[in-house]
Amino acid sequence: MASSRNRRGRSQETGRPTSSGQSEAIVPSADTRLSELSGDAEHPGATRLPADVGHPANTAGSRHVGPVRHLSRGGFYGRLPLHVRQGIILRGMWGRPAGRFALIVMALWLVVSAVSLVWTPYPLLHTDGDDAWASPSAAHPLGTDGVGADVLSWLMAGSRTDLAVAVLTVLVSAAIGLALTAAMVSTRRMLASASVVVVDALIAIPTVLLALLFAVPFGTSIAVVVAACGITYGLNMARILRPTAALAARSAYVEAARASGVGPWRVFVRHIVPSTFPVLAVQLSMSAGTSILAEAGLTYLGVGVPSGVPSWGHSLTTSVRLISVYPLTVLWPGLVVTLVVTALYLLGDAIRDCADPLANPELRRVEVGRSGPADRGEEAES
Amino acid sequence: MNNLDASEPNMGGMTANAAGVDGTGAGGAADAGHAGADNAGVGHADVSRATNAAGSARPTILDVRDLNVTIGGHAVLKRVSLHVDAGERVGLIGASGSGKSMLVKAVTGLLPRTARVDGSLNIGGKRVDTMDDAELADLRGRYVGLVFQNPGAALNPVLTVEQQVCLPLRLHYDLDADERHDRAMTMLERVGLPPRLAGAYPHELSGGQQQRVGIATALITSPRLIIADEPTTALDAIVQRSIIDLLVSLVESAGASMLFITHDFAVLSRATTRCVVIDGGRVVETGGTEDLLRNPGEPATRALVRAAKLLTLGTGVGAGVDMDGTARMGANRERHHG
Amino acid sequence: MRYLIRRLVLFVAALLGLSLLVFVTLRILPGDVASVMAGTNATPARVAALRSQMGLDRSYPQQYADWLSGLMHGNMGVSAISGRSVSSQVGSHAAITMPLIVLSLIVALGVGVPLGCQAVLAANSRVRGVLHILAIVGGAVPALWGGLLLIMLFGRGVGLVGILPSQGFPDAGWRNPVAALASLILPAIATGLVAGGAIMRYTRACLISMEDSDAVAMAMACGMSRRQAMLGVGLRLSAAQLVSVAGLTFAQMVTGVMVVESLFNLPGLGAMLIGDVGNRDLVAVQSELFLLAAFFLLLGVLVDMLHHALDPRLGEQSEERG
Repeated sequence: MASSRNRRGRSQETGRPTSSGQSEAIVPSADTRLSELSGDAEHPGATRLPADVGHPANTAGSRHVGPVRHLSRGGFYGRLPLHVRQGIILRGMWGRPAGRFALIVMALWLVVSAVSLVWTPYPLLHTDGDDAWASPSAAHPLGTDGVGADVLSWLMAGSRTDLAVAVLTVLVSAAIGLALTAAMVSTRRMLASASVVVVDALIAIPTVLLALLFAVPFGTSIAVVVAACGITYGLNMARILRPTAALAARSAYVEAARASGVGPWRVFVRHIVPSTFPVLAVQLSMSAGTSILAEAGLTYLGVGVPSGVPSWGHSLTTSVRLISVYPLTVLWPGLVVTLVVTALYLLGDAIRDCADPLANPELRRVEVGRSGPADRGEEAES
Repeated sequence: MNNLDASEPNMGGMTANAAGVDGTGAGGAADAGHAGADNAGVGHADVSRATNAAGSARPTILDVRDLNVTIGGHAVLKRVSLHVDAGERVGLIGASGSGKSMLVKAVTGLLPRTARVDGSLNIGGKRVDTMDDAELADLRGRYVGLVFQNPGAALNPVLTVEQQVCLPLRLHYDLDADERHDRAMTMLERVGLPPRLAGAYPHELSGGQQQRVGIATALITSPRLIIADEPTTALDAIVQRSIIDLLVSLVESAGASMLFITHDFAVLSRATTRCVVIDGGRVVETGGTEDLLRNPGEPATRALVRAAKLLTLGTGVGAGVDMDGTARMGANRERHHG
Repeated sequence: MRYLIRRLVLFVAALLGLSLLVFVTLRILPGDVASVMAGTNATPARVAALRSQMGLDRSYPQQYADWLSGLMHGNMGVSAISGRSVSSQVGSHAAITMPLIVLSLIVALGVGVPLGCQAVLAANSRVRGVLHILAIVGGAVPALWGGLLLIMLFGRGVGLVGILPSQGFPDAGWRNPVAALASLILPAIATGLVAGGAIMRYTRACLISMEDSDAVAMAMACGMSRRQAMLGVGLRLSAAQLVSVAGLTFAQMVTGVMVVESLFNLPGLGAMLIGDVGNRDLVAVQSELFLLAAFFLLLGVLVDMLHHALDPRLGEQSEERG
């Protein structure tokens, strides 16, 4: 399916740089997006429309909820029940090696974080002065640091902190990004122009400078990291989402909604935002990944997580002093961070490939509401 | 001014006196200037005289036999065979998704890397399916000219009209700037573009003008085979006619062959003498264009003819075709089943 | 031309907004700045003197105006802690950081773009797969770790192949260019490789999106080989986007640069800024932070203009597309 993978990738990718510059998505222009929708259906995987599809009467009795949208490349997308959609998406992700890796790492991360709440091999404050800078052994699988604390325990506990950082950053950047996007596609010209100006102007400010700025009045804390990252990535996200959102805002569907008096906020949330989901998914996972990298760097610089709090940045920072003593211990925290960030990036890619109905034929191949044998149960035919 | 010789599929540098842009007739006195080519009169001695269905003595410029193309496990072309003789204008018609564009890509080596191809492809007597990209690149633009469906997307937006039209010249021939300029301007004139547009960028032109640039680019090296992939589909009706007529007249005067791909029978009846109907990746019917219009045989053909009639308001050609398929077979027409 | 003017106006507006942001944020300090800086043992007179010296006894708008006018005259104030003028320090530190940034960018682009192209154009699909993985993982490595690994491998005196200096910057500075440059190599590689991973991903994505495009197909139809067409046309047409990305990667690279400066013990702008933040040296931080941010704003403007120049769809359209 290599060529269809190329096609799929192409249709979802976004046109603008992202927060860390770590996204691989670049969007062709809005025009190309249109041609994806209406172009020739020679793309493999296009389904043939049954002769009588599209007739309103035929969708009665189908399992769809909500409006049914027809894709001229074949098939149509109606909103399947949520659990069915999620099942299809998850199965799709599990089916790919990259997706599987990402899901496994995510699961591990969650498990370790949860476990560390109640148990770690050694209590965090346990320090064994005699045993400082020990190499890995049965007692301390990853060795100990300068005060004799167990590296493994601190790494496990750190996973909680970084999970919090990632989740919070995603929330903040999504909120800021979506709010700015809403402003930029608003029908009120002043608001739209003003927000575009703001985004374009501020987008170049590096995260670390913001973090330093906030650190002066507020001290160093997770909040500072989250705020700096959230703002930077939110601005990026707004810039990237803008073409997609603008395209959706110009669609006949939205115009009709606006004309019939639906409030601007509802229009945005119900009609414009869903069209940005694939791009949003990739961007959010990028943000999550980069926030962890940022946390590591900022903590090392002294403006991130305070030094008493366990985090991967902390573990990395302490391992810096280990170079001359036990070189190999440096490996672990960095390895953990790299693995998790890679998994986050791959997660975004996998979601993009599996959750967008344009990219994933499985989500499109639903039978039209025909009575009788067509009413199969759970799954859309695969 | 020397003329370019694109008459041999595998020539190296520039040679003199070929049938060229200025139209010296079909297969005219072509002095290929490389060893072994006998270029007296019509045709060329070492071009393969593979049997062609019409049984004429004209050489076959494009010969496709049993072509199968599979992409991602999906068979997009199944045992497709067709041929284009020297000086012929052949149409390839089919609905969207029938595989027409895939055929064009297969012939010119533009398929994605993941595509699996088997069958035999001959251009100008040379076996093309075994060629690597470098050899194919030499053929493209010199022996084979390609006109694209969407010139707005195909033309390089950072090149001016003149730069674009000169591109095949730069890639294949060693001319100096003045010569290139002269040829480009001549070509622009022949496609009906005013000289002042030579410095314009594609986005400053109308659709019809863009397509004329596309045609000029494709034809500037006097290719022997011109493949036009739905060249008028993206244009409005009035412009369509003039573009089709332009193509036909340029091809005729150069004595070249053309493969014209479309989904519209009305267009084909203007542009071609013979056509091949493709459906679902297979060739389903071939025959003279007028013939098929009057008496379409296969269901796919009938559907296409019907659609053409609907759009052109049923005037003239083929009015009164039998809708239920009881058509009479004309001479030189074949039906393919399965 | 109109675009240029518009962009510059935007830039000035952003500068003003930025200065306001910095100014206001730094005044949110709980407690009294002057007494914090003077220390717990200071006499009230000392605190009062400090306050008036720093201009904190004037009204906020007045302080803001003073600061801005000072900046425009190149006067960044006097550090209340060290007593030295801020501007004198900035110069010597910048002489380390700026070359480091430039070198890192060279590494990032020099590694990222060619490898990104190879990730699409290589004939062997296995090579392409490996490069794809490299692109993803390369961008996921924390700069700190990368730097550490480099030190462990190549650091003089510490590493396996100890050939490059890994700590400090020669006192002679740039008067001995070879030694100065040598001490910047490992840091530049550390930062550059990580940013290079991101650029590699972007380049790869750009090329993939152009692979099926009509423009590349037409270039091939004119007679270019696939590779020629992809590089000559595909890459050229995505250059605009790539430039924007490079610009942003650059901005994100700053964290890495600061980390690396600290790791490799280079007395650059990062060290200076962090030190001043730690000391709560309000005057110094205010100007330094503003200047650094302004530098990146300027960079953003330049990148935008370059993007605009490269974008083939010149004019209003390109702004429409975002």
